[in-house]
Amino acid sequence: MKTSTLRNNRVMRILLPTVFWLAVWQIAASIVGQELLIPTPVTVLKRFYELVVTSDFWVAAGMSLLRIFVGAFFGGLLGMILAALTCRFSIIDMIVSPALRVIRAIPVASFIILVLLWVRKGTVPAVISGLMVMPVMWESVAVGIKSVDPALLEMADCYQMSSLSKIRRIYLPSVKPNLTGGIRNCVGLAWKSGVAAEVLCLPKNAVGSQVYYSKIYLETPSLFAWTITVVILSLVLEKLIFLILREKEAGDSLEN
Amino acid sequence: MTVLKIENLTFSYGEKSVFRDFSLTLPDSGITAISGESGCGKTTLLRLIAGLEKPQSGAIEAPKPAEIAIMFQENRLLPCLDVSGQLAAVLPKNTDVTKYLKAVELEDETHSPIEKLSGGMKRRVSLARCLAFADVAGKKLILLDEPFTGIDPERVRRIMRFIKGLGIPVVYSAHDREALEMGDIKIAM
Repeated sequence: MKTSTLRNNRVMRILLPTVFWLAVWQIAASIVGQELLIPTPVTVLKRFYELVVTSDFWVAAGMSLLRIFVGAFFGGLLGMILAALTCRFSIIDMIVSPALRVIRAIPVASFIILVLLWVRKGTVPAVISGLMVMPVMWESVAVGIKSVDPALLEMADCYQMSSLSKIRRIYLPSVKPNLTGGIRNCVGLAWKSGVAAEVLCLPKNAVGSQVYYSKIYLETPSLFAWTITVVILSLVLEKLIFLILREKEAGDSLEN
Repeated sequence: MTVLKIENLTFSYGEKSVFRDFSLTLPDSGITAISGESGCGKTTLLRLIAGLEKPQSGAIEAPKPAEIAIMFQENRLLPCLDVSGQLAAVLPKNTDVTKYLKAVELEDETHSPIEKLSGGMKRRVSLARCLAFADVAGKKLILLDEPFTGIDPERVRRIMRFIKGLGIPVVYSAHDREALEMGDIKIAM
């Protein structure tokens, strides 16, 4: 089979890397020969199945998703508002922009420890997700606002378009690609930072807490199984957001 | 009665002088065509009249910028809107745009996405938007910057009849002779 044909085959695109990396994993586990260090794929899948059938698993997964989603939603919203304000008022830009750049540069672990001192441990993952998402969304939206065609704005002024109409007809179409890109970047970021916060803060009913407990009790198959859970949830969340965004885009084009 | 009186206008972009002691008076009716080579200042003149540029010296007596409708040299159409949406975006809600689309012979393209139109058709959408805005909002002066680029002369003639029927003084710039001939007053720069 030619390389190009392989690349175009959807089943092969999923199957080939899965089989390859499972084989690598199996070989590595066989060479090491200790389940405590590297459990075999079969052991991990068995453990994953044992977890999936318990209600605790679904409660932990659901609560982690909820915390991280709420944090990312409000962080993203704040980022968008700040983008509009920093683009509109230079004084706000002068004050806020350096702070947002600092937030983006600070390691997430430092933030988690700091925030843990200020809020309840169950709230930390949401706050961390929000804090990580906010500057990314701010920058994406601000770049979109700054890329608005000044000629269109001049036309809008000459044709006495209202501020609301300008936002709807000029700013939003210009910001939309950046906004979509920003949301896509933020999903992964919020999820990773949120789970990291759960690992360090150990809130009740959380995927991150389960990852931590698996580590300290040396339950390596559980550690692998929970990590797989994190990856699957991240992929599901990402796919879900992509679908919502695609539906929204299709709806918008129909409306226009 | 005059709609426009320019006296001793001086304007330059940095070192490049565009107008020096330029004067012009236009009556408050009819269609004025402005001709001239590329870069002679036709667009700048229209922008000065519209209040989008400020002269370095001299005086311009014209309706206030809010009383002027201008069609720009570029189409400046709004993204993601169909043909009728381009007009509706600058008009009061529920205004019927059919009359203006018919005037530029685009009534069959009402719901066509703007990106699917040819260059000449886009120009006509831009022109229809300016004429509709001027007519509905009761503007005192219409400025058209090369409005007939890419439109065939026969169609220009028909569109010009509609423009004259609006009864609003118009100043337009043009390159080609045929478009210029349609003006009541012709000014060479």
